[in-house]
Amino acid sequence: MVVAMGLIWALLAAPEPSSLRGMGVLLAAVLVGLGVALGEVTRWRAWRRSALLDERDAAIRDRAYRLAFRGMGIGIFLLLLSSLVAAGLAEPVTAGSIGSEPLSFLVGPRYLVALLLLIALLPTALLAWTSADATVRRRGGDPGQRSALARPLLTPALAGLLFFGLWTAAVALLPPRTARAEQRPSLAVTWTGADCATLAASRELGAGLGAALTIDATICWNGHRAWDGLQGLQPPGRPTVLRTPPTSSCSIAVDATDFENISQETCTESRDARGTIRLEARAKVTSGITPWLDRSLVESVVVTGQGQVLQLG
Amino acid sequence: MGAGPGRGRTNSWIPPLLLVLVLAALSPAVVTLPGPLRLSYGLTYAYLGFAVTTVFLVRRVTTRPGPWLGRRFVRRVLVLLALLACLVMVAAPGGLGGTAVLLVLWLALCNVLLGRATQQITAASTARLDERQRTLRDRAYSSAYLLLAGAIGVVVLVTYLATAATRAWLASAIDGGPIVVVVALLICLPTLVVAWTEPAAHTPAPRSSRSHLLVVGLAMAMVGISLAAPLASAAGVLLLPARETALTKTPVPPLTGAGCANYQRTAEVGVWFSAALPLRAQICWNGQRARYLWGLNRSDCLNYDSILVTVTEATCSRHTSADGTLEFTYAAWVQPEVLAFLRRRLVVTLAVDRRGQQVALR
Repeated sequence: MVVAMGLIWALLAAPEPSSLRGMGVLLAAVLVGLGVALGEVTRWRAWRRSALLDERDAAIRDRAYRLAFRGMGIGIFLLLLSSLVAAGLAEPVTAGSIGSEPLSFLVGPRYLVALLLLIALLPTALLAWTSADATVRRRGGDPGQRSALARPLLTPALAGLLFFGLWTAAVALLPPRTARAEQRPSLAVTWTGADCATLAASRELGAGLGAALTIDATICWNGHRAWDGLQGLQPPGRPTVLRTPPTSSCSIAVDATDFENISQETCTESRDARGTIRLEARAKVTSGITPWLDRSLVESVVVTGQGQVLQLG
Repeated sequence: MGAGPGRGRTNSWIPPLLLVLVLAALSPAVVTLPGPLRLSYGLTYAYLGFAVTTVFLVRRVTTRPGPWLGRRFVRRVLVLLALLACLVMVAAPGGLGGTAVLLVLWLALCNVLLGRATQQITAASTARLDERQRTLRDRAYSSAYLLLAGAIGVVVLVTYLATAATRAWLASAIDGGPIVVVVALLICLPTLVVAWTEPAAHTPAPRSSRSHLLVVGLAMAMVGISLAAPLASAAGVLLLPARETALTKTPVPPLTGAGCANYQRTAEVGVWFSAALPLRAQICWNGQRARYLWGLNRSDCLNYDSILVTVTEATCSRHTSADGTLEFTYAAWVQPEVLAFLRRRLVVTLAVDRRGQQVALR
């Protein structure tokens, strides 16, 4: 079980695959279940107060913590390394950090969960690894009785389900977080006789525990109408590209899809009779375990012909 | 505090020897570096080797706490000062820059002193400890794990969920003071726990042999040098006089006028912590005035070399006087990474008259 925990943790903490496609919560729930199972096997000695342990058990527990202290250092180092590798391998979420707020973060929910599970489960895992006499606690009667096995199997399963339930509830109940950034004038493009700005907005569900959707657009305006500065509905004129622009304006980036899945993402452009342009990004968010339950995520950028931003995010 | 750990095995010298070999293998790369940096890089490697050797020697030496470090009050004050340094590194807005190096050195000193106070119990191998010390050591690790894991877990979870600003702080903490604090606590927190919880030593220390005293003295001296060397070198940047290399003049085929030459000079300051402002230019003259072809523009005032020194606010000025003498000044502020709150001005100048001769700057 300890080896299985290590392998699952390594999968959760590894930089590849870059996205767990919503299965991260399943991995975390399995880790929690295994941790509870090992806790049952070790009679929760790792978390008992010294006064409740005899001298031998206390010594065994403290020895496990000595190993866990060093293991925690190694684990933190591996997580840092993994997050740096992942950041290097990932495509830019948006036009980097524009304005005053960064829109892409090095710390994602995947590494947060991996760190918290590491420090919570490591002492129990090492205690189980080093203990020579770990036995399944029996409630009496013959070892072959089903009741002797029910608790070690049922409790971890319930713990995993409880974790999944709490995670789902947290993502649903915690408020989404939106970050906005604006760059005026835009460094991506200039238009003769017009002003341009690069606008970006990112929404993270569940205060960062769920998926994230980012919309990124370069908008230009001339006092009468607004248009997509890089492509789309353009008035006559010659753009001057100052640096390599994003692959497309009204680009969408999905991030943090380890615990929730994002699909069917679309980005549409429209302009009304007053010259106000509207860019709208939509996506469907589902859990990796319950794909039949979904909800929509919408991000919008609305800019008037005079350059006033009516909506961002 | 009872019987201390015994002597270390002789093969504990292998790691520093390996490090010396690695550094020696890297020395050809250092030798090929240009002049002002070569000495500084060499001193940096030498310092690293010296510091690692010091660590191994200190860990090898059997010590007694002594009359001061044996007192619980003194140990607890040192623990609190070490934790205060950690708090400053974590909480300082915008980072501390080079001052963080001072705090890290202070943490290292506390670790050495408290390690001596606790007779290196937390670093000693199990075979060298008696039963009481093993129990003490393991219990310290248990407490240290709960303290550090709890602090990391709470801080990371709260800053991740609270606001976008706290999450941005968390992202920046990965390469700032907080991660340095985490690494430092992973090294020394068990020692801090033992130093805090152990009662004062009551048994008088037995007399030590002369050779043991010499080794202890050598270890303490090396610790002092390791801690003082960066401070002294940083102070040298500020106090030592700046050096200006002799101007080299290399004639080149004239494009216009009577003659042209390449001029080169460097202004340097510091030993180990050091900075250098290079000046390279091609100047021509025709007997009436000197004029430059390249090397004396504002864009040329961005070049500098430095080791553990920050060079900022570079400025340059160029002027041709009435008698045709071309004068150029390149100046910048230099701040050592340690003692970053102090700085000095470093200047390199060049003045060439209408006949191509170097003259003193007016």
